[in-house]
Amino acid sequence: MATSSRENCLLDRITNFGVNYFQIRVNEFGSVFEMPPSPSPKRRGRPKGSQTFGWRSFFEQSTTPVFILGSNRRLRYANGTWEKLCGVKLTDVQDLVCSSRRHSSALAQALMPTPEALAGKVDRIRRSAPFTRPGYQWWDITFTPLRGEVGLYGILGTIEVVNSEPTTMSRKLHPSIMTLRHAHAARYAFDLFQGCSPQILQFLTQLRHAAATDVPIWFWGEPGSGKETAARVVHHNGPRREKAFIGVDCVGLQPYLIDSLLFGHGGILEGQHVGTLYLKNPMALPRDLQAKVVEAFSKTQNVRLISSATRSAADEVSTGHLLQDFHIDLAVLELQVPALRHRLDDLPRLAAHWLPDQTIEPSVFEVLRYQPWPGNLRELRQILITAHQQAGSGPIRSEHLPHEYRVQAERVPPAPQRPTLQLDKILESIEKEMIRKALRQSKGKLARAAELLGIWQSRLLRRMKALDINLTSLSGSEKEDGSL
Amino acid sequence: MKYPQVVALEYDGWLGKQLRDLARESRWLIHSVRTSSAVKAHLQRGNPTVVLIQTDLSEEQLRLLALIDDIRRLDPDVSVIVVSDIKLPDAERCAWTTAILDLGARYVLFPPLTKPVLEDVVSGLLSASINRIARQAIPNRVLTHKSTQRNAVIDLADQETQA
Repeated sequence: MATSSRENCLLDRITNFGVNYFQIRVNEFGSVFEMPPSPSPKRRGRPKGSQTFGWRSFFEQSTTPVFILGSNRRLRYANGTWEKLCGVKLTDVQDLVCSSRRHSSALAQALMPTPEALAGKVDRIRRSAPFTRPGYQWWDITFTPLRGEVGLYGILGTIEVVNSEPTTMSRKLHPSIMTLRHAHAARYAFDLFQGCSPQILQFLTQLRHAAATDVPIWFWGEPGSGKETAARVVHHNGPRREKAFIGVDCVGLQPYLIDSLLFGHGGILEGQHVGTLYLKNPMALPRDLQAKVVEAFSKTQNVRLISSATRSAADEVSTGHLLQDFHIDLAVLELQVPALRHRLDDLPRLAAHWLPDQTIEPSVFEVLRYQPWPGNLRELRQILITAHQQAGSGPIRSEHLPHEYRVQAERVPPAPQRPTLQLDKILESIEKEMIRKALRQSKGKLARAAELLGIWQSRLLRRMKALDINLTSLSGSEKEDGSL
Repeated sequence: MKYPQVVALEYDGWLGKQLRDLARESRWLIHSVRTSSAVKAHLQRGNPTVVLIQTDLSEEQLRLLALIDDIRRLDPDVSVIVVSDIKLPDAERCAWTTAILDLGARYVLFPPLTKPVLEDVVSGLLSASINRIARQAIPNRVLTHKSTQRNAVIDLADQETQA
């Protein structure tokens, strides 16, 4: 085939399809003419009259739903299987921005690439299908980033539909309740605990591992740090996500009410609907009820137990509030939720999560950084919402924050730079000082100095060389000190 | 001043009447409202709040359950109690209870409903909510509620050991 016709064919496709797949190939191979030729002229998936690989036809004949996002998260291409799955035409949703903003459609939120994918790593995530049908569906979406010359070029996504049998609950309940339930569940993604501080990154990793397992968890952390949210994230991303999450406040409810709710006539543990039982402060339960919970959960594997408290399970046992058996059997995995004061770098991200369309001046964060945050996220959320109400339609400024917060920020001087504890440097300086001392005492005699230090002379020489100690400089400095 | 409040979404005023004495004794505000928007309006001020939703679980009233989800989004610390007007067979009752709690409600009450039980559920959850907010304001002060007091449980085994 003539070179010019091939070039024209490619350019025609680039112009027509909008997806710059071929441009990627151009970037990778340097020239369109160096693209690997089609292995066989009769290969299926190639448009009529074309000598090149027909990528669009190739995807169209696939039974796997495929979609391509641009670097700006806009939907660029989707194949016919994808259209059938989603029930929409590509032309209707082309250029749809796939993000989790408040006004984003359910489809846009479902196709939103994960932070890992945006960072250039292949990632797979399970999300609820945006179009609910009887027999609720989940999507396992794999995001494969495509690199360009300047960072991320686009993302190739494939969807695997996870069909699940309608649960007993979904057969009995009204479909509108099920829709509501699924919309509620979709809000609890791992993204809620994204952040840049080391503590939250570590916690997020632990959370992902916890969601992958099925063992009882004990979350502990300061009040308002997000323990219940973490428990919901684990449930809605874990193996029991299709069943219900039941939260029980053991402090607020009288023990007989909890007993009746869990174990009473027609209690929720009798049915097959519950996936996760979340006990908030289980040490507030009387011991007999704690023992009943331990016994019930030791027998059944149908329900996962997640508990939370302000202290670790071991601490609660040592103070006599929690049964030892509860600790052993029902606190297998203990995760500490980081306090807000340990993740102050995440303040702008948290504010954007609660007030997505609100402009917040940087001076606000300067004030917020110097608060002790005893109420953690609960307190921060309340402060931001109050400030938002005061600010009206304008941006939130520091004067919209409570007076005591501003006073606190002025009173606390900027934290001094913490001295770093670099063990190697400290040990090196100690070793240097000890060798110098030994050399001074032995009046420069290496054999004697090695004996004093309890090491071989050869090792002393090696260390002197490594630490840049020489006898001449030592004697010189000692002369200055007047010790020799 | 942020007074604790009970907001009852109901159509016959029965819940408000049952809780009037308790609210007066405890100096809580009680609002009996008929629309979801009125409930949301009462949540704007950030007071410690318990919301009661009366429903007969009929199709027309299912939209009221969407309010549970809305309340969770507006203020996750608000406790929601659903009060059903109809009695259901055990299996259905279990399924409904599970679905409603899954949406974020804290308790579901079915008939026969007595005033002491209603008072216990509301006072317990509202006290817990007050404690949470108070602990946030006064971090070093230990606040206890009657249900959290360890002395309330007399452990005979411990007494025998001591004897």
